[in-house]
Amino acid sequence: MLVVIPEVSHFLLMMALVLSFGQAVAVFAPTSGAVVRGQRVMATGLTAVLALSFLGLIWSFVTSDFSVRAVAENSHTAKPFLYKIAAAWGHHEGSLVLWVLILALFGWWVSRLRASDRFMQVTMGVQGALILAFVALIVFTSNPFLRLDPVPLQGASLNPLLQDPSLALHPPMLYVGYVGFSVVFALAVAALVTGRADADWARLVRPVSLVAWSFLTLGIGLGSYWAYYELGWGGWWFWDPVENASLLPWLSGTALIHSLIVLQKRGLFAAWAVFLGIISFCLSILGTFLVRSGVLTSVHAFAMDPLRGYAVLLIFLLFAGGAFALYAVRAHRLSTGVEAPEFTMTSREGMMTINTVVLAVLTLTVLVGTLYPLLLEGLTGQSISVGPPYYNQVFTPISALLLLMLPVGSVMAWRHVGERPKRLWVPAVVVMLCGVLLTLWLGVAHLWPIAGLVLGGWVVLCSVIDLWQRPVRTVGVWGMALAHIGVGLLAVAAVAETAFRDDITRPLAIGESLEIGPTQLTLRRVGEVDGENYVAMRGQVEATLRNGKQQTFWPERRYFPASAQTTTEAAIRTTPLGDLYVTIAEPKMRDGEAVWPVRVARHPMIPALYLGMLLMALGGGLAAYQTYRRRGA
Amino acid sequence: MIGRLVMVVLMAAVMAAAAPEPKPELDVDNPLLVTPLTESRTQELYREIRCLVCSGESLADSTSDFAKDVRAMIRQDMAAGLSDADIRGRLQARFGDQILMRPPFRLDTGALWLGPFVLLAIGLIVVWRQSRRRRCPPAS
Repeated sequence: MLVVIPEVSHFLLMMALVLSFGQAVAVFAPTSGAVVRGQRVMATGLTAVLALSFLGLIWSFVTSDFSVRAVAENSHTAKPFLYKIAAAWGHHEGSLVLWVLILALFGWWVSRLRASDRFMQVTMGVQGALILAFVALIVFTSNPFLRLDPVPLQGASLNPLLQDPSLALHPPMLYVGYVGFSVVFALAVAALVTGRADADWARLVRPVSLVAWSFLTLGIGLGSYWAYYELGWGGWWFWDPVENASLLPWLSGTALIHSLIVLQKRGLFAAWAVFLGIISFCLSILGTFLVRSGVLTSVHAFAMDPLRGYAVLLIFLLFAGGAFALYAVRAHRLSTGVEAPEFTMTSREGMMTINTVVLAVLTLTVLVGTLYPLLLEGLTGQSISVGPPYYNQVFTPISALLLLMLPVGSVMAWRHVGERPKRLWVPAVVVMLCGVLLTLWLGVAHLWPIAGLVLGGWVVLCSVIDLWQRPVRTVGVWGMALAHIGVGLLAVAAVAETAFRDDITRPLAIGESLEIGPTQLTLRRVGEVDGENYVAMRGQVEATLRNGKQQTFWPERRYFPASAQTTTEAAIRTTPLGDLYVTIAEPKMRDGEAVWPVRVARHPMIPALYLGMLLMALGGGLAAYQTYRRRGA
Repeated sequence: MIGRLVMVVLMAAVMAAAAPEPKPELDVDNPLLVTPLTESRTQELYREIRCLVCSGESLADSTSDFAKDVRAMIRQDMAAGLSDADIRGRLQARFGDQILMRPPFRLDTGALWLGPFVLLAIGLIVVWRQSRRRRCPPAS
């Protein structure tokens, strides 16, 4: 009986097609409680059939059923169990099934919200239309349940670079983030249709946008961490198109969660919040298109197929075009329920609004930087590259503005400045003094990075003081403070890592040493070890630290026979202030003697970098909890 | 007299500081030699040059043959005493603009370089005008 599981799963996808169609077209029915109840039932049914279908896919992977093409192309019997499961979403077709499953889960969540019938009808209708579009994409262009005949004896395996715990979790996290914004999108469209985007609407949207944003933060963080330790040269952010694609909705989502606060508290700029909600999801789909279609070259390995890419582009144009057309017609008529609210720039809402504008500009900077080479080539035939130096020169100074303003905004009162924010003088003087000391220690040549460190420290210190001085520390206050401390830590670590990382490569014979800073490293031995599905060349590198302590590093080069690929496994020692990062390469000959190029790098503040990202995600999660609990109040 | 002495000492100090330290220019591609990558001019330059056969990696990170060849070209040019700008110019002339990680500032890349700052200015002006339009009533 179990052999028909792929067919059953395939059939369940067809059922999802029908159910989502029903949920979508119900939007055109005359509004009534019965219609909304019907949509709710269909939303629940969709979740069930898509969950079962996804389980069916995992089943095929776990049992290594190579008669299913997706399994044959992406799995292998000799693969660890965890990666057999992860392979279910480690390729294009499977990742789309996961995508629609998450879409349905969010759709189920949104179907349980309490709002007016018309509002719910539109929201669920939009959510249904989104599910319909993506299920159709799967069924017509990327069906994971197609069979192969004859059945191959062995599968082609998953790219070994992707066989990694953090990368197994990276796509689901990212997808929860991307897809979470689909709910925001549906709620924004419903707001445009019903003409109300008031404090109640903001209360509905805030929890889900915070959840989406937190997961997106985690997903991006995991991806960056993976790149850092797995790609073998210790870079954590490359301004690569695929990375940029995930950063775009993150930036606009950050603007969104702040503009929702302004809308809820002060009834200001409803159209701007709705716009940010729509654009965040559009950028999520655009990111998927850019990644899937292969129109942009990238360091990330992915199956590229222009046809599917253009199908995603079509979906993007349909939804973005529809939503923005509606926006153009209806946005100016949005009612916030507040008559003629006052607004001054020197208030908390003023600073938060400026913050959303700066974040929007940053979003556009990354978007333009990512697409400019494509546009220029299309228009003039000139090809250029937009690499990290561009972002360092344009993105970094604009984001420095955010860091400068963040603490100032946090101490300002709503509406007007009540009192002069005196308590900022102390942290300002403290961080400036630290800056002067750092300049004396490191030299004037490092003035710019030191300015960055000072700004990051400024954010951390002020956020800690702000948390300390609060009379009441609710979960939400903790969330805000932790997220802001995370931003500061991330800034400090990013600057330190970019400006002060230290890197040396040297071919070593057995017994030879190299020095980096106060640390001496000696290559003791190179041997071979067998892994579950690879063979590795493993070096033993002894390090003598400043304090005389000994430590052993085991960097590896792993060869995966199933896919004939080699990966570099860095040996990393982490301390609170930074990482020591050791890799080894294939041996070369020197005077008839084998030498192994050993690369040693010192990456300052790397733990703070990832701690910062974790704190941001945690802070977002706490804020989501608070806003969700308070929703009814 | 003393003033003159101070002057001479100062000038000597300036010249000593300005004189390039005789550092061996060595590289990862040569197994015989040692690589002082940190803050070296070579490494800085490698980060600015893109490996054209890779997808988005710079010469500093790439292990491709193309990257090896271009690194060798850069080292030769450096040994011949060319400045960084000269070397970048030569690579640009030979391989096209896309070899530069930092896009050149020209008429057709003006929007790329200036766009964000112009948008920022426009955005801030819009917020400022909103604050004028929704001005608070005078405090009572």
